Amino acid sequence: MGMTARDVLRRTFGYDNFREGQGELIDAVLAGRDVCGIMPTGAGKSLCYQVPALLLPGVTLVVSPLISLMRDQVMALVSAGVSATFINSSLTDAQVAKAMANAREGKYKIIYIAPERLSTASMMSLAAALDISMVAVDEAHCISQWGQDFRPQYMDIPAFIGGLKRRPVVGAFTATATPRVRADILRALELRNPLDVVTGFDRPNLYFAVHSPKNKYAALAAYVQSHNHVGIVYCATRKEVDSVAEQLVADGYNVAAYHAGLPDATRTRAQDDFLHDRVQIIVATNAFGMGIDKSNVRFVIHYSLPQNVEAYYQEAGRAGRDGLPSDCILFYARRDIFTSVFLINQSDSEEEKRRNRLLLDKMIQYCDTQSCLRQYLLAYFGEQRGEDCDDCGNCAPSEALEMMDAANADASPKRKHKARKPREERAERIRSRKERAPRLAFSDPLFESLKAVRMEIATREKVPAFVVFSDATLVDMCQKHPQSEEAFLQVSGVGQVKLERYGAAFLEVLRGTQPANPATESQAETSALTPDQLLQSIAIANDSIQISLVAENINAVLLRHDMKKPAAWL
Amino acid sequence: MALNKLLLVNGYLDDASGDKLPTAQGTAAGITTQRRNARGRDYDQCIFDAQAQRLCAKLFLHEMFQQDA
Ligand SMILES: [Zn+2]
Repeated sequence: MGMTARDVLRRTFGYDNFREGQGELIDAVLAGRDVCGIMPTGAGKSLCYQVPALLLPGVTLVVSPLISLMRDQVMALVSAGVSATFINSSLTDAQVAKAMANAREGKYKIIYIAPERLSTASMMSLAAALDISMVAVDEAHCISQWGQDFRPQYMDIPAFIGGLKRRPVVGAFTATATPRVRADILRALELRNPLDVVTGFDRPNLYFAVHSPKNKYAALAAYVQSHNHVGIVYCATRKEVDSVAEQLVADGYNVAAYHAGLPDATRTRAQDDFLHDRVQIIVATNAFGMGIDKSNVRFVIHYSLPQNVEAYYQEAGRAGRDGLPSDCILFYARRDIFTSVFLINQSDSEEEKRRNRLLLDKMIQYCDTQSCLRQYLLAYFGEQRGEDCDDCGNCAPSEALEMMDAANADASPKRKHKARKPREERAERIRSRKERAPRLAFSDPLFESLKAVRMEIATREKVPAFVVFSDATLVDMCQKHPQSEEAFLQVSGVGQVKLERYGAAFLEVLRGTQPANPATESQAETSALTPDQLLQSIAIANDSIQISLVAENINAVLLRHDMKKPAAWL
Repeated sequence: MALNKLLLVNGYLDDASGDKLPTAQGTAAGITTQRRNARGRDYDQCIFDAQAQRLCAKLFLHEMFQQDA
């Protein structure tokens, strides 16, 4: 009796159920049918080819243009016990040769490959020797000349597939596709009778809001101070990036700046530090983000007006890829329109200027609308839905916004509430919104402890923390509070291999039986603890870490003992 | 007291240059620096090995308990 797709989902990836679209797409692939999956970021596109890859004979090739994404996905697969590799320009010739030799010996189930590699002689000869069951084309919109991300090397994909001795199943996947781009994908990739699945664009866990603070920086600082989470601040210009980053650094935050004016090495470092949670906030122009697969981004703040709604939704959509509630807040000042128009007018082409002004108008309408922001965004992408979401800045102003208002002493005049509801009613709505959203454990001391364990493992294995477990998995761990290996396996995101690899370390915390950890007893005993006893339970990373992380590890223990005084590092 | 301040007061860090850098005592305790870049400017970020992390925690906890006492 063979494994089913659901078995693989459960055992390897640790999930109980398929999400919208995944099941259909996987079934089609397994039945040998081409597919085209258009799913929003965070909807689990990659599982649509990773799950079949483990069930099909031979190997699956995944074509992807994003080097950092390839590396992360391969790391995540390997940590889940899947044999996978990538071949791209980040490897030395010797490393490529080694990967290819291993591939020839059938050591991999999944190989990620950069498009420009497909037409090389070495790849053609490797392909001839391999039993390729599926070719998955990620970021498939790159094949369309209509899209802004057109990559000419993508045009080589059909020829590559045509040159194989047996035609594999071909799957195309992307998060961004207008109808025109979609038609291009189907045609240019020569998909045969494909199953075409478009899942909704809605990202229910994202809270959208527009805010017009008098003093943007004060509002940003107020937000960041009360949300001690990982986030991205998008600015319109390099100058703005530098100035906002500088102020945040001066205020003691752990920040990296990112824009095209910085040297390559600096940018790579910034991106890497952000990915590995070594910096909390990245302040960036729109040059940042393509190929960033960081699941635990809790907020995306646009410090200035984005150029168009599509770019906005893409950038804001980098928040909450793990499905946990996250904020997408846009700071809107009328004067920003002049900057935007100025930028648009830099173009030489009248046609382009005209088109971009129209797109900007739509963006401004988003900022000005008094109605549901989610509805506006979905309608922009052609998805109609009749009712207000009750869960955006216009439907239900959050405490975060109220607080930012408070930061602007005489509250911003442009702050708009449609027929502002009485305070009690608003509070009620906010409460009900919270109940709908997955319950958050961010302030739960147990969550902090689990995070510290994760950080320790990630540091030791030199991988980003989310490769070990996502925040969503840790939250589920807090809620299910497993005490046994069987129960641990029930946590969403825990598969067999991860149980074997990491189960013990997390269970130790969960059981509260860490030998050198006098924690978890009743809080009445807290006062009896000596500093040295507390010291024993603080997580110590093997590698060198910066002081903010040291503080975090101390705080995890203090919180566990309900000590009100957190360790500040600055 | 904030961690950085504690380390300064106890002679593990020095900020005479404007940046906080480990003193000889700090280096001996396991504090090193790493070149980083923010807002286009290179700077030296102090990083703490296992021994130095324990030191931080110890300084902090002892100070906290002293205050409470
Ligand atoms: Zn709404």
